[in-house]
Amino acid sequence: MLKSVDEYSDTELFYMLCDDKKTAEKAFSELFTRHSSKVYAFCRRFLGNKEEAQDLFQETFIKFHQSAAKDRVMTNVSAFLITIARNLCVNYRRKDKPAVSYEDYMAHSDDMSDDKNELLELVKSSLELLPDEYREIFILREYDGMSYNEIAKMINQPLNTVKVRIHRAKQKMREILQPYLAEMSKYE
Amino acid sequence: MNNYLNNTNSELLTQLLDGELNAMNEESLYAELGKSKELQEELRQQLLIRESIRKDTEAFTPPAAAVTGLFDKLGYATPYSVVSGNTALKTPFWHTMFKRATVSIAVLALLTFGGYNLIGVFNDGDADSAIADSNSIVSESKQSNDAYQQVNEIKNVDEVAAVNNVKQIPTVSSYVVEKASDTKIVATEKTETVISPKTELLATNNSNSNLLATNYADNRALVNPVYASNPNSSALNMNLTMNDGLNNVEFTKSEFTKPSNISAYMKAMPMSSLDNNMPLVGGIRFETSKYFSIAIEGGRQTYSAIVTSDTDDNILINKNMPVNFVVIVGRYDVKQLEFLNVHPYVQIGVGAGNFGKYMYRLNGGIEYPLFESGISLMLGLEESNLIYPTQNKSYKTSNLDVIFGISYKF
Repeated sequence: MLKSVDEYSDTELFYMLCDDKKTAEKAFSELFTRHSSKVYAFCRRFLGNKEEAQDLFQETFIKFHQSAAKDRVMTNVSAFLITIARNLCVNYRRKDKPAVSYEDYMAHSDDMSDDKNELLELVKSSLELLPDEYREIFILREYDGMSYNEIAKMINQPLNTVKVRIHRAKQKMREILQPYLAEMSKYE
Repeated sequence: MNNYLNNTNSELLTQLLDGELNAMNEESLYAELGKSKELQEELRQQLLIRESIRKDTEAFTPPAAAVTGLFDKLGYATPYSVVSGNTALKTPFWHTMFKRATVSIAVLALLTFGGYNLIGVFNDGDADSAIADSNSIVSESKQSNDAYQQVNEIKNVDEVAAVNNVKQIPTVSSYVVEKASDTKIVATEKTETVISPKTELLATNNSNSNLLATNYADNRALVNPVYASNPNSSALNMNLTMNDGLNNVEFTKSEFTKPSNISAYMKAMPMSSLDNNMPLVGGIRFETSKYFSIAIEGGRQTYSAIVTSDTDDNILINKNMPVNFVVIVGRYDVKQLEFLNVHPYVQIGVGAGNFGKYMYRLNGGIEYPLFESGISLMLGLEESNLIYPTQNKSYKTSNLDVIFGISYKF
């Protein structure tokens, strides 16, 4: 290795995963450092459950590592990782979809009334009330910072559909949080 | 539910906040925002939600257990750098013990060595007093047959043989040996030059290389999710304090890496052990960038022969003379040649000793980090050069040796 591992691009590091174990280990650590927060954020907020999120977070990186091949065309490692995470999470939810009731949400939000990050706690709870198709798109946009085009490619939908879904996801979120947000307006 | 865009102001506002609105619609939306209280409220609420997500550190921090579990499953060692401070990885007991023990030994050794040197400095005084001591010993005329024998042998050593023997006392064929003891040889200058394998006559004008210590910052931030660009709030004149998106989600590389760039190290030169005194050097190093470091080094090294003079025309060749020194060091890490976690480096140090006006030391070697403990082993070659005036001439005594050592990054 002629230069420090942090000087390599994502794509170069991806191909280095196929090299000897020492090189692969370094490359993997660097890629993990660069992208783990985004992947975990997606899993954590999409699934809601911490234990499930951890399992699928690990599985994402294991699948990512297994997919490394010199002949694979790799242009966007970040999007590739999120795609793996998304597929795993969506499949997982299809198999075992937990129900979150409005009552659960209200009970939870009452508990959070004194919390310093009250709005954040409400946002997290609201996310769980969103339908999957809105939730995932909201997380990809707000947590993972993906552009509309990137999201469209990832979920294999037209750009306009993405625009509409993002808007509706945000509107839904606002609707759920409306009582709280309105209350905040009064005191500002 | 249809998937058609109606291009309502609300939809355009969402696109604006996500940096996806085209220029054509932007202008009309700004105009609408200026007069619609409802739209302004929606903007404010969307920004509040975004701002709260920005604080969702829990979502952006993979738990340590998940990280170690993943690396275990892949058969990799969990790097220290990927575990954040608030989810600190529990290191194995033996690992911690090893680290603490090694650091304690190194600190103790440094303190002992430093204290010893300090006492040595007070005892030795400056070069003049060292010479005075020499004179007093010489004046006692402690002649030793062995020493004479040794000197006679030296006189007969040819230069090639002498060069190959670093511990040998230099050839003094151009001097007449008057007397000798176990520690000193008194010789009268007969011809004009003495050239020995490790003590050579130099020009009086000594120029030291410039110390390279470029200082440039090298803070590498973790590449965070790139969030959308945001509307030009000043154009809207709406005092939007939260409109910078989420591009500072409080995760930087610096949070994941060991913050310190200060190291302490000790190194020894075993092949130059004379009179059972192994040269030892200790130092503190400060990394100014990824490639460059500066350090201050101190140590004690015994030289095989140092030329001094007494009050007469005689010169004294001091055998196995210890010298305390301090040098400022510039170091370059040759990252281009890194392989298998081995870090090559070269360095140059300039300074002075308690005997000798100038000293410069050239060192090249490798460092090998042990685990992720901050401890590294050092191995290399070091040439030390002591330059000093005697009887209006400059002499240089050099020593080339293998070094080995240990360093600890705090």
